[in-house]
Amino acid sequence: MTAAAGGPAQRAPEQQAGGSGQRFGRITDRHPSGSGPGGRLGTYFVTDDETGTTCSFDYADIVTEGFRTIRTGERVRFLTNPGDPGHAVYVIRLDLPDIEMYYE
Amino acid sequence: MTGELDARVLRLKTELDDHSRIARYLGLDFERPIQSLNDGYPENAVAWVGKITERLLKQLWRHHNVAGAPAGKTLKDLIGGCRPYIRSHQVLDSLHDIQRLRNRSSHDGYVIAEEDGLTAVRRLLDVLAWYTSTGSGALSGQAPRLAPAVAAKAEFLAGLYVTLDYRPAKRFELSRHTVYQLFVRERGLRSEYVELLLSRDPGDLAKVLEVTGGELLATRLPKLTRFLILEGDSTRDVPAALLEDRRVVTYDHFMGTMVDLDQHLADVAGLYPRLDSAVLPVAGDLLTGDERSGQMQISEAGGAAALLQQVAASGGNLLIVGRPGSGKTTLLKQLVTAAPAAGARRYRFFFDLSLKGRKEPFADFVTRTLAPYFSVEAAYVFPAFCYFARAGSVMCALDGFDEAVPEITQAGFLELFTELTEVLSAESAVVMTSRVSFLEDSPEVRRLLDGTSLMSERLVQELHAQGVDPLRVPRFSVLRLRDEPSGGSLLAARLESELGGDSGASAAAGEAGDGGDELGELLWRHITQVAGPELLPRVVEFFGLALLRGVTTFTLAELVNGLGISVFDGGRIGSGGFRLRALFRPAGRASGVADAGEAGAVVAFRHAAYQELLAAEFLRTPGGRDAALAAARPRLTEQVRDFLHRRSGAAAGSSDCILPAGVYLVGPSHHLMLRRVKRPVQLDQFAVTVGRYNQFLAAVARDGSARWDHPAMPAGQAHAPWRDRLRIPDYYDDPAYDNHPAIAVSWWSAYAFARFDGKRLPTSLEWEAAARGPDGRLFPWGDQVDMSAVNCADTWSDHPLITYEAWRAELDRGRLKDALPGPVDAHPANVSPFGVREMAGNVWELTATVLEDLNEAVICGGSFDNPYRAVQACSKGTYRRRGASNAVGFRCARDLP
Repeated sequence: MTAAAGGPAQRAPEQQAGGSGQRFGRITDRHPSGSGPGGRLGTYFVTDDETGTTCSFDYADIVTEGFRTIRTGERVRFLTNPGDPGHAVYVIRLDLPDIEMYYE
Repeated sequence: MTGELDARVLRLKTELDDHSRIARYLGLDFERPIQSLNDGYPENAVAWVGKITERLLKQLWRHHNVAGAPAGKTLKDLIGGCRPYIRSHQVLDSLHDIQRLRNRSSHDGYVIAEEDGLTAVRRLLDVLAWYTSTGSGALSGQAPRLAPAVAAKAEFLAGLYVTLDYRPAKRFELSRHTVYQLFVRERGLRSEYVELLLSRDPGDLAKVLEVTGGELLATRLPKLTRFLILEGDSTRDVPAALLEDRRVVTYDHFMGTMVDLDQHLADVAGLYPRLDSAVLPVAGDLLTGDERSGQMQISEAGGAAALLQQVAASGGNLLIVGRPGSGKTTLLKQLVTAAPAAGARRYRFFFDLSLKGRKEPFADFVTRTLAPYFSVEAAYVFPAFCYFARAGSVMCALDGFDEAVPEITQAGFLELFTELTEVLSAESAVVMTSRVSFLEDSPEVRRLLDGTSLMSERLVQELHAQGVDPLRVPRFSVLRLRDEPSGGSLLAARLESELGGDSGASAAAGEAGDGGDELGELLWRHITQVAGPELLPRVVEFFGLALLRGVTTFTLAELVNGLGISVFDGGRIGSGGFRLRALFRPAGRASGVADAGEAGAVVAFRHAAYQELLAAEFLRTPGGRDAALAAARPRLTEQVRDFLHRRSGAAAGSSDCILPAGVYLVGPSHHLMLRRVKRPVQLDQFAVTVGRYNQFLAAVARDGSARWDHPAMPAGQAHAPWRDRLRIPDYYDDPAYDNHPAIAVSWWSAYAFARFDGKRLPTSLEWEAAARGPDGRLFPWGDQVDMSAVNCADTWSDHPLITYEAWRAELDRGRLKDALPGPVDAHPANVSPFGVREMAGNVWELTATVLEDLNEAVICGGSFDNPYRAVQACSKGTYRRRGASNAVGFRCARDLP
């Protein structure tokens, strides 16, 4: 009765926050161009909360199905590739407004 | 020293004596703290307890090879290092108490009272009891040492009895395979004893009995329950003397002494829907979270029942999602009631969460549900259940998770999820079901369910705030049930065969080509058949409004009050004479004396979809929507919305683009709301075009824009489009684009244009209500996905772009580089019930709604570069007011008198 069977969906602590390389940070700067087709779209910069290092990313790196924009000061979660450590990818916005605010 | 204190010290001394073996082995002196107390120096007793505790922890440290040498470590550091090996919170608390008392006694100026000295010894006893129960000979120097497998089982049993408020009184390791444990708890003036003799080898027992001459196991304790726990079923080699007054069970079935599982499962099988053993012909996709984007991806596809078995056998947690009537409950019940495969979790519990009171704590609900099957007192049902669940021996089936959330929002989900974490620990196997739309639509919830994918910081904070360690949240796979190829559902098929005869409904649904219509039709037919024309309006109002208020179970007394006594044959209250009984199932009894007798019996609809259909029917009328809005937070499920839309059918629309005042259904499916539009408003039929905007620019060039500008518009804000953002440089110059939407202009410019045009921007509520109509449809034209009706990212690709990954890959391949806004009237089918055109897709549209804190405006409807699911009538985003994007345009609105 005591043996807990380990399965594929079983939680693996070492894969939790930190282990999978997720980083948290704030958007510290935004340039009006440099990304998107023909460089017509903005480039953003995120500064890691812990290390203080800054990575750039462009609009397509924002994970959303909706409108892609981000403002300076927003908190995000992001990843980096070892091959390109200065570039943030899979940027998820954390400070989205409560849905009900859209209807006030 | 008082006589009372004397007695208490004596009792502690007796209890300490029980642990003399450890004392001898570790060279500890338990006499010293007792002596100090007797001499009136409690501070010395505390100091001795501290020393003994340090010694115990150092032994534990070495035993588990904790990194670093324990010598010279403080008590605090020792507790920290050993912490991972101490599973009991109670023991950790005791250790911290000892540490705290010791710190206090070593500071000048603090007086250590006699009570403190007694507390220290009491806590030491707790630690010793646990230390003993962990059963490792290496720790306590007991010989012979138990085989590890036997030790683990003994520890499990000891933990169980500690959970039931017993404390270990005696423990003897009689051989490598046999251990004797005695537990005691005080009940008033009485002491209750439980004796467990656990042995892996019956032959061993004979030897033990021989060596001890039977003396050791003889006892004269009152109120004693004795168990002999064996590995296998055979008692052949067990000495007869041991079988006399003992209950013999196998270890694997020990839980059966506390819970009547067979009865529980028989009752589950007996409830609606009736089970048959046939494998459900339902296909499903197994989804796991993508670590980087947090989105769910299909990892396996096949028969739903087989996939379910596979995950269940591996011990993983699973969430089954599917449309109403797709067979979730049946699958879950089949899994729970089937004979468990070898090695699978033996103890399976089924909870119908739709019967959980919204304010009822989960522990109370579990107690209420399982108490009839547990032999322990009600107060211990939940702790015992949790203990089994955490030990990994239980599979816990939670049916209808979405029906138990306190409110249908992400916060509501989180609240319930947090409540369940006591059961949902890493060792549990939980299989739960939910409607597909509710859980899948919220990205936060998707991430929460998959522990390895990235949980957002806010979610982590909220979990911490509610006392849950996010790292303890288990990970879920998701099994998504596919709709049948015919579009029908299991529930519909069942209803069809029950209602029999005339298959007009399915024929009609066949024409519509969508099984959802069929389900609604069949349910409606059933309801009208059972209720009859006279009762029907009252049934709609009473049950429809009840659902919106979150009420889904009813006592018979409440039914009389709500529907009149005529719903009972002959005016006699009773389940048998309830005229609507064919739509209902029994759901227990109301607690409370006032509802005794038949009137206190509780019923619920056979399937949640019945009541959702009645709620939808109720919401079809403006008066119904008004009444529903009055409920504090109407409980609006996606199914209610779906039925509302379907039942509204092709209700006559208008083409004048006038949105009447009234109450409208708005919001994404995981957060549906009713909101009132106070005044009628007429929207522009089309988004503002380049041609119209150029007229405005000409007027501005002539006369300036001061009279149209927003008073708060920043100085230097110009109204010319931001040309650097335009992919087509002469977009505003080439007449070929005159009929394209005006884009790359700021919110300030959109505001000024609207005033120039004698209008204003619509609020985001007006915009959405105008797009969805009174029936809350998903797209302006209805609920169907129609590729030819919209300009979105999928239009520019040759396959649907469901996930971020798919969209990104398409973008990186350069396939979306040609995606552009098109003419504002390009898709005649993209028309709302009020005649407003092209609201979904093409370009996001700015609204008058501004989030002042962020200085951003709400934008609606999605654009040419978003995937299909982001171009719904409820799609929203925010954009800074001075921003100018090639994906954002606007349209105007005019107040009507």
